[in-house]
Amino acid sequence: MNKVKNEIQIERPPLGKRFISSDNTYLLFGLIAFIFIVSLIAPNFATPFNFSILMEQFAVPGIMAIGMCMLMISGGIDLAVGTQLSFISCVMALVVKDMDTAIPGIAIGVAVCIAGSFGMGLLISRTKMEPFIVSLGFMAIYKGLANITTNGAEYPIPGKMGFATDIRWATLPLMVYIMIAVVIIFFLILRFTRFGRWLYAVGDNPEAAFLSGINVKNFKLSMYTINGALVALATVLMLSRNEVGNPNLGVDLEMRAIASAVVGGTALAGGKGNIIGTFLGTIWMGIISNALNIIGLSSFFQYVVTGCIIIGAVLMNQIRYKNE
Amino acid sequence: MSDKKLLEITNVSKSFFGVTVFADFDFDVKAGEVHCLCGENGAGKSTFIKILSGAYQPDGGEIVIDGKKVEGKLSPALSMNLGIETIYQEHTLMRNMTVMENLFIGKEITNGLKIDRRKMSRRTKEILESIGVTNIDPFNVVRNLGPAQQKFVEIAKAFVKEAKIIIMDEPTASFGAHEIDQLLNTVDTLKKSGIGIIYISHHLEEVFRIADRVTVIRDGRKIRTYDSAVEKLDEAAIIKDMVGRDASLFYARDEVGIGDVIMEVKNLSGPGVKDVSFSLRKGEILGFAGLVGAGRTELAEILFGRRKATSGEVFLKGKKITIKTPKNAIEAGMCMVTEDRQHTGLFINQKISLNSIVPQSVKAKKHFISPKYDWIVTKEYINKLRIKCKGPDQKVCYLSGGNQQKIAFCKWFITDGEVYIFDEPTRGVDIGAKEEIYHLMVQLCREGKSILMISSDMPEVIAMSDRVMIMKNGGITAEIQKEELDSETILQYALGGSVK
Amino acid sequence: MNKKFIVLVVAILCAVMVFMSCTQTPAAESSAAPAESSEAPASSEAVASESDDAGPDYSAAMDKSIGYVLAGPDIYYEQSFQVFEGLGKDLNWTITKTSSDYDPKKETNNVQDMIAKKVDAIVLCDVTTDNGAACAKLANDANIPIFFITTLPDLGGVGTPTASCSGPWYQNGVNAATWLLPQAADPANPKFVLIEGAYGQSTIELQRLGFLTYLSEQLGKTVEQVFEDNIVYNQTGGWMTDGAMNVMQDCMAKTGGDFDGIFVGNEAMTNGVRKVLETAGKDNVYPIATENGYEETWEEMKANPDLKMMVDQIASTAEGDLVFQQVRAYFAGIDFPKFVKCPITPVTPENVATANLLPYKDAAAYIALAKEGKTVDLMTTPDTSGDNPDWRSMLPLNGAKSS
Repeated sequence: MNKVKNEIQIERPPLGKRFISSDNTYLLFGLIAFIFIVSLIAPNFATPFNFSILMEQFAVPGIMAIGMCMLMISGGIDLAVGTQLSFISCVMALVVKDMDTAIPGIAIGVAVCIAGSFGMGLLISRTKMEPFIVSLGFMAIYKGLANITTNGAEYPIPGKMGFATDIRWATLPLMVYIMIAVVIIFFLILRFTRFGRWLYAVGDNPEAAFLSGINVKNFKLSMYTINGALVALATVLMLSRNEVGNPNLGVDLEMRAIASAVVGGTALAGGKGNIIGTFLGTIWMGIISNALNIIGLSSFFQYVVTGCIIIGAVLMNQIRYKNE
Repeated sequence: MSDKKLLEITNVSKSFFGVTVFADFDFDVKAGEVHCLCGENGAGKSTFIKILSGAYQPDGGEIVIDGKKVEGKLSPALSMNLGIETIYQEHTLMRNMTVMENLFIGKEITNGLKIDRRKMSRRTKEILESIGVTNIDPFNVVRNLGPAQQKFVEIAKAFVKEAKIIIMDEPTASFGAHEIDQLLNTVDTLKKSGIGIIYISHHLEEVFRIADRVTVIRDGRKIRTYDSAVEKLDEAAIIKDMVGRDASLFYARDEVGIGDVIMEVKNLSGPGVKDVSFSLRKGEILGFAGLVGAGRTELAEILFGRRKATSGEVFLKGKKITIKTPKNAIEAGMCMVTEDRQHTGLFINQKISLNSIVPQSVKAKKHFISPKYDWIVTKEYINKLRIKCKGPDQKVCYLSGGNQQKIAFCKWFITDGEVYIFDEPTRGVDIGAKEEIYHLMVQLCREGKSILMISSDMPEVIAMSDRVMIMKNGGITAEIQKEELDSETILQYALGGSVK
Repeated sequence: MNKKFIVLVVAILCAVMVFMSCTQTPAAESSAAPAESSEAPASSEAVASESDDAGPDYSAAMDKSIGYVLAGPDIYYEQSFQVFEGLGKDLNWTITKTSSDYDPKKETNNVQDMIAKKVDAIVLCDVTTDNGAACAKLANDANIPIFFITTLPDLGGVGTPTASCSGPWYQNGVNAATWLLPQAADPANPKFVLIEGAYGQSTIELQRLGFLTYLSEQLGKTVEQVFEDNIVYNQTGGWMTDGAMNVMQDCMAKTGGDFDGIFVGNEAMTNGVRKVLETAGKDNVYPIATENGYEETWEEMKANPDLKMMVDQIASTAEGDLVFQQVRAYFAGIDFPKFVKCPITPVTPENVATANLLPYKDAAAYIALAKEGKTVDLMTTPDTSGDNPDWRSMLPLNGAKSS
C-alpha cells in the first residue's frame, strides 16, 4: 500500500485511561460539582442521613432504569413498567392482606408480573409491532387492571413486608444493597457475557445479528421477561417502603427510568448505553427534588430543572460525538 | 460534444488535520462528455466528489462552473442550483415510497391541490424511457427494486432535477452484465442531451467503453489525463498509473490441491430457487455467475438458513443437515459474507471487537467472554487481514469500504468454518484490498476450506474460480470448468443462449 | 485533560444557573425564592389579637422553620397554605412548601427530605391515610412534630401525629342528608346521587358515611341497606370540575334523571355538575348539597333566593388558621386541643345574609380578619380525637353504583 499506515494500538488501554475517556466522567464530575454547590447553600444536604434517604429514594427507580437501559440498548423500550408496578403492588397487597403473611403475596405478584412481561415480549418479538406501541397499550391495560383490583382505593399492609427497609446495615436499608447488587450484576453481564454483547448487536442491526447466528426473536423475548423480573423486584422493594398497594404507586416511574438511561448515555435508537452511566443518570434524576426541598425552593421548580438536566446531558453527548 | 466547459477546477486542494488528501488538482468536464475518474480507494475520489457537491470546502484553488467563478462557499444547495447532481454508491432513495414519489419529491405534479398520480406516473415513464429504461413500474415501491433498478431511478431523479453535470460514483457495483449495458446506454443518452458526466469506476472495461477522457488519480494528485480522441486508451498504462506498479499483475491465483466432496446439494428448491444441485469440494472455489436476479443470493440465503427451503437435501461431510436458521448453519460449520455489508453484514456503530466475536460466541457457545479476550483475538485478525484501523476499539463506521469488508470477513474466519459463502466479496473495494482478499481466499483453500463465491465481477469469477455454476431464473443452466472459462461463454449461459 | 477542566467549569455553571432564582448569596440556614418560602421583616412582635386580653407569650414560637407538604395541586390545599404562611410571617417562620402530586412515594420522599432538612415541624396534608401514618412514624423517629391538615390522620396507625385539624367531613355528610331528605318526592323512599371526591384519603369516605348514617337513622335501615336502596349513582369526579362533568353526564345517562337530589363532594365539582344540568335543561331542578364556600356562591345565593343549593361552609382557610395556632401553641409550650375539626356552617339562600362567612378564595382577606381575631379560636374548639368513625367500611362502596 502506498499510504501512511496508522499506528495500531498494541495494548488495551488501562482501566484508568478507559474511564477518563468514557462519557461517564462528565456525569460524575458534574454530580460532584452539584453536590458541592448545594452543600454550600444548604448545610443539611451533605449529611449521612440525607445521603441515606437519597439512596433509599432512588433504589426502586434505579432498578427500573437498569432494566430500561438493557431494553433500550437492544433497540426496545417498555413504557408499561410504571403502571405494571402499580398493578402488581395492588395484587401483592391484596393477597398479603387476605392471607396475612408476605410470602404467598410476593410469589403470586412476581408470577403475574413476569407472565405479563413475557406476554408483551411475545407480542413484540413475534410480530412486527413497535415496542413503543405495544408497551403503550400495556401501560393502559395495567392502569385499568390496577384500578379494577382496588376499586380506586388502596390496600394498606403495614408491617407485613417491611423487611427491605427494616433490615439495615450501616444505616442503609436492605433495598439499597439490593439495588447496588442489581447494578453490579448487570454491569458484569453486559461486560463479561455474550448476552451482553448480543444486546449491542441486536440493537445495532437486528438483521445482521440474525445472520450472525443470534436467535433474535427469543433473545428479545428473554429480555422483556428479565425486565419483568426486575419490575417484580422493584415492586417488592416499593411495597416494603410504602406498605400500601396503590394504583398510583408507580406513576411516572417509566418516564424516570427512560430519562435516567438517556442521561446516562443510552440511545433511544439502540446500540449504545452502559450500566454505570445509567446508574449515574438515576442519581441525577433523583437528587434534584431532594436538593430543592432541602434548599427550600418550591418543588415545582424541580420539573423545570430535571428537564434542563436531561436536555443538557444529551446535548453534551452530541457535542462529544461530533468531535470524533 | 462541444468544447464548452461546464465545470473547471484548478489547483484545488484539501487537508484534514494536517494530512493532505487532495493537492493541486485540475479537472474539467465539457458539455456532452463522459470524463472518467479512476483511482484506488483512498486515492481521493470521494473527497473530489464531496468538494464538487459542496459537502467539503476546499482549502485552496478555484472552481468555475459554466464560465462563472464560484465566489465564497460552494454549499450543497448552491452546487445543486448550479446543476451538479451526484449519484452515490449508497442509495439515497426513500425505500418505502414509490418510484414516482421519489422522482417528484418536493415537486409533486398537482391538479389544483390534489396530487395527480396518473400524470406523475406517465411523466415518470417518459423520463425513464428517455434514459433507456423500460422495465420499471412507477408505482412500485423502491424497497422492492433490485440494486440496478434503484440506480436507474437515482439517475432519473438527477435527470428530473435538470442536472447539467452528473457525477456517478461506482454506479455498476453489483450489476450484472446486462444491467451494465443498460447503464452505459443510459450514460450515452444523457451525454447526447448535453449533460457532462463524471464517471468514477474501478471497472476498466466499462470505462473504456464510454470514456471520452480518463483522468487517473493517485494519492490525491492527478497523474494523467488520457483523451480518447487523441490516443487509444491503454489499459495497462492506466492501471499502472492507478497503482503505481506493473499491470501484468492482474490477478493470477495460486493453484491449490482439491480434495474430497465436502458439501452436496440435491434438488434444492425454495423462494427464488428451483431444483438446484451441485457439489463442493475441499480446497475448491466454486464460482456462481449470472445476472442480477438469477437466484444466486437466494440460493445462498437458503443454504445459510435465512430463508426456508421447500424441498431438497443438503449434505455436509456425508451427513444430511437441516438448516432452518443461520444459527444452525453456523453450528454446522458454514459462514456467509453477505452482499450488503452495511445493512446485513456489520454492526456499523459498534466496535470492531464486537463485530468480530459475535458469530464465534454463537458457535462456541461461549457464555462468558472477557473484553481482554475480545481485544486479543480481534487484534490477531486485524494483523492477519491487514485491516487499517486504530485498533479493536474503533467503531466500524469510521473505516473505509475495503477495511469494512475485511471485518465482515474476519468475523467468519474467527469461527474457523469449513464452508464459506461469499456474496460479492469485493464489491466497493479498491484494487489493493481486492488483491489482499483474493490472497486470503486462496489461503483458506490451502487450509482445506471450501468457498462458494457469488460474483458479478467477470474478471474476478474467471480469475478465482475452479469451477463456475451459471444461474438463470433460479436454476443452474451450466457448469463450466476452469479451462473453458471466458467472459463470452459465461454471459451466453447467463442470458440463456447456447454455446457455439 | 484540558477538555475535562472545561466540562467541570460548565458543570459548575450549570449548577449555579439552577439556583439563579435563588436571589440571595449563600447564607447559613435559609434561602428563599420570592413566592414560595417566607421571610420575615427585621423585627416583629408576637401576634396578639386586639380583642384578646393580656395575650399569651408566643416569643418561644419565633424563628422556626416549617416543612409544609401538600397532597397535590388543589385550590383547597393552597388556601390553607396561604393562610398558614401569611400568619407565620409575623413569627418570622421560614416555610418550605412542597407537593406530593398525589403520589404516595413522592410524599414519603418529601417528608424524608424535610426531616433531612432538620425542620422544626412538619405540616402534612396526606395523599392516603396509611402513607400519612407511615410518614408520621418517620417524623416520630426523628423527633420532629408532625401536624396533619385537611385529612383525618389514622390515630391507631403506625405513627402518631402531634396534632391535626381536619375537615368535618362526617358532619358535612350529615348536614347534606339533613337538608336533602325533606326535599325528596317521597321522603320514605328517597333517591340520591353522590358525586364524590378522590378515593382513599378518608375525606369522601367520611362524607358518605355521615350521609348514609343520617339516612339510616331516619329510615330505620342499616347503612348498607341505605346505600343499596337509596343511592342510585356514585362515582368519583376527582375533586375537579371536568372530572365531575364526565361523571355527571354518565349519571344522567344511566339514571335518566330519576332522582331527588345530589350531594357533591366540593364546589369545584358542583360547577361541573351544574354545567351539565344546565345543558340538559335541568338548571336548578335538583337540590344540590355541597361544601367549601366560594365567595361568588354567596353572592349568587344573595341574588337568587330560589337557588336550590346548600353549601356547608368548610373553609380550608380556617384549617390553615387552626393548624397555625396549633403549631404556635406547641412551640410556645401552651396546652391546646390536639385533634380538632374546622368550623362548619350550612349555608342556604335563607341564611346567607346572616351567617358567619369566612373568606375562602381571598386568603389576604382571611389573614386580615384572623389578625383581628374575628375568625376562629383554637382554644375554644373542641378536641374530637375520640370521634373516629370507621371510614374504611366505606371503601368497598367506592364507585359501586356506577357500573
